Amino acid sequence: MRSSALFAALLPFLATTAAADPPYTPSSDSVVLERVAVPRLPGTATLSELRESWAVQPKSVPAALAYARAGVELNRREEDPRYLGYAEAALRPWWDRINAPPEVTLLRASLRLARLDYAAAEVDLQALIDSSAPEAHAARLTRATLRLSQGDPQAARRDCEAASAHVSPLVAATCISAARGLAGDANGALASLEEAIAAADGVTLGVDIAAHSVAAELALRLGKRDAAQRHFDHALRRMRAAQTTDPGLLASYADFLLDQGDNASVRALLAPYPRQDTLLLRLAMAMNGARRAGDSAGAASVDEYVARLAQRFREMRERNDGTHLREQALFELELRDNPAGALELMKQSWVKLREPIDARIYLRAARAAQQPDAARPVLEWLQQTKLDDVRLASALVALNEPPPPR
Amino acid sequence: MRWLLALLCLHLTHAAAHQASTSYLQLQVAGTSVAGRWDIALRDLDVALGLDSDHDGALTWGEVRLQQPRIAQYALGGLTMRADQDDCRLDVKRLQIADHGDGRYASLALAGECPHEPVALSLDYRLLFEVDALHRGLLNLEFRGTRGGLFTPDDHVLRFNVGGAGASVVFAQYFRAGMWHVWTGWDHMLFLAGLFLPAVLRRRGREWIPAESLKVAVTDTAIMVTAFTLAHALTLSLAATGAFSPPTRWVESGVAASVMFAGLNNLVPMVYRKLYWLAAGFGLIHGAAIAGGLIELGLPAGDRVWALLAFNLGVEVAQLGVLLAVVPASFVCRRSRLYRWLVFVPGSVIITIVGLVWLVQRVS
Repeated sequence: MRSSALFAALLPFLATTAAADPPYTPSSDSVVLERVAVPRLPGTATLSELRESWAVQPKSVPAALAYARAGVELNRREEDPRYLGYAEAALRPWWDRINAPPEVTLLRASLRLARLDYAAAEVDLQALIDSSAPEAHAARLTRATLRLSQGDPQAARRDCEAASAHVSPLVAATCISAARGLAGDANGALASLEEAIAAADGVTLGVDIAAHSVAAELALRLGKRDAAQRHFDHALRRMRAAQTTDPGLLASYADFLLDQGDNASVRALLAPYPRQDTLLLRLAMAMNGARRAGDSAGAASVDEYVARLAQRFREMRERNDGTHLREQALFELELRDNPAGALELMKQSWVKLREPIDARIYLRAARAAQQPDAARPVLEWLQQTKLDDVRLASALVALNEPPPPR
Repeated sequence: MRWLLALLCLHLTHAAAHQASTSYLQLQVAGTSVAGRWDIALRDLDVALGLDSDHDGALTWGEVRLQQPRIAQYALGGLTMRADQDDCRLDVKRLQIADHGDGRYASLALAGECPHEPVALSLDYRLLFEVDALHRGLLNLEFRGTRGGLFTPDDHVLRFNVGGAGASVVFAQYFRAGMWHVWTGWDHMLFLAGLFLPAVLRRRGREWIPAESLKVAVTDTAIMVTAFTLAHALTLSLAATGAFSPPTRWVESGVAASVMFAGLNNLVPMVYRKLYWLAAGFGLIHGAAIAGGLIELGLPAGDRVWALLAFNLGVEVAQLGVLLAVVPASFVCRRSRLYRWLVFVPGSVIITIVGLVWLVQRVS
């Protein structure tokens, strides 16, 4: 029933699947058809070198792990699911094995988590936590992430605390603060995280970006925009200095700028990343906002971006890929003026993902669709977690008001 | 909350980002001929085959064009098409380039031929799964209507039958498939021949003597055919609808044993009264065996009963055809010594031996 309701809601917006363009023969042999170079990883090995050594000994745990980890790292930077597909293919010999080596089990759990296959990820993580393998602590942190995605901060916090003695103080503080911040104590969480940030030194890039990103989110929930800006600035500075990309950080910061109506800054921030759809979505939203405000400079690009995103979401639907529902809801809500479709998507997405950003999109979709009752699951969740978030509070107040004019 | 995973250097994202690896397979099947187009991302082919031969990170048309045979071989190695159970031949006629939203694709023009017009078409897709577990194949099939499909590593075989094509088409197709199944199944044919060879004879003491009248011969035969058919239809229907699933090995061994017994019983009569009970018992076994062929085809949703009936009728008509060929001819010749020593005895010996060989093969 659910998916048929969704289909009905999206029906007017599903472009007729146009037949693919007819094939052609390029005019000369020297025409470049595709760039297939893969960015170099830290260290010296390229992905293709790692793939070659995996291909000659696909049953070797170190070779498979090195290749799979490289894929995961590249996916982090580029948000390209092909890299996750390579990683999963590399782990294929151990994919269904109960007694896989612990390093393999941990990576497998993370890949399952990325597909939102929570049940299988839980089994892997529980097995590691019950074992005496050194991966048990990483498994706890991974499960904490899973619990936070599912909107269960109490359980997340238990895992963070159990792992805290075995990881660096800043990692422990970040984990615990993220959980505390979702459970009604954002103030205390931010204060102790900032303390831990100040006390830490020689922090690695990933941990630093993560700590400041969590701090920025906490500050935003408390309405402390200046503090949020400071944390974002620090994280972005480190990201740029390392010449890497962190699409999650960029998306969070873009959302922060979009909330303030600062479309120009979003365009400047995201223009270099047109190939990453989460970022393209925010870029299109900023340009659409500018167009509404009377700036017609980027109008043609908005239409092109919308067409490209629509195509991508349609392909994901055809692939039965359920990992994109939140982004698609945002797309339907903001760029296609289809709040009913957005609401149906959020109802589906809410089953798996319950983060504050999901709650916000859900509430906005329910209001725009003039179906405030449909947001009941979000209201219940807010009561359960006692989440404090000024943005959510104002979305709640607005829920029963008529949607803002477009 | 991906920040925490960042802490572990297991940075993952479940957001929509790039398009994951997908190939687009369009096939048109009309009669026995197949035409199609298959678009596969150049990026993916490069991962599987190393197309960028000068390793400069830029894939040119020259590099792709020169490797057409390898690309074709790789692609065709990842797709098997069957008409019922028989492989269809597929060839790549031409390689061109197609533009998709997420990059350029090799576009393969396909042409092929099936050994006969399929009732059920099965497609087994394995392309790229070994290098990218998240690869998917999107199918657009024209086969008695337009159908879509999604190939995944766990779901790499898709079957399509004539369902939705209208009741008369379904009936004709399944009727024909039922007849075909009997006529191409040597074990069923031999069993029927063995069982009905003595229909024109009557048993007296240790001797077979010719039946006095055609009426008696036809009546006896008709009773046996009916017993066999009813039993046969019963297990065929039950097994084909999934109501019970007897182990294939024992069913197939049972069929072989029945063939051997039918032949041997003609030479050294063990059962000669109430032969219809024997016919019914063996009918049960053969029905279960023939159900395998129908399960392979699948029953079209919405027309299940209709297709089952048609298949059954096809099977029975084919069996009756065998009897119509065997019984009158042997009735005419029943008094002839030549019939006895050139047809009845050698035929039964051959049937016994073949049945024995099958039995040994199928049990072991």
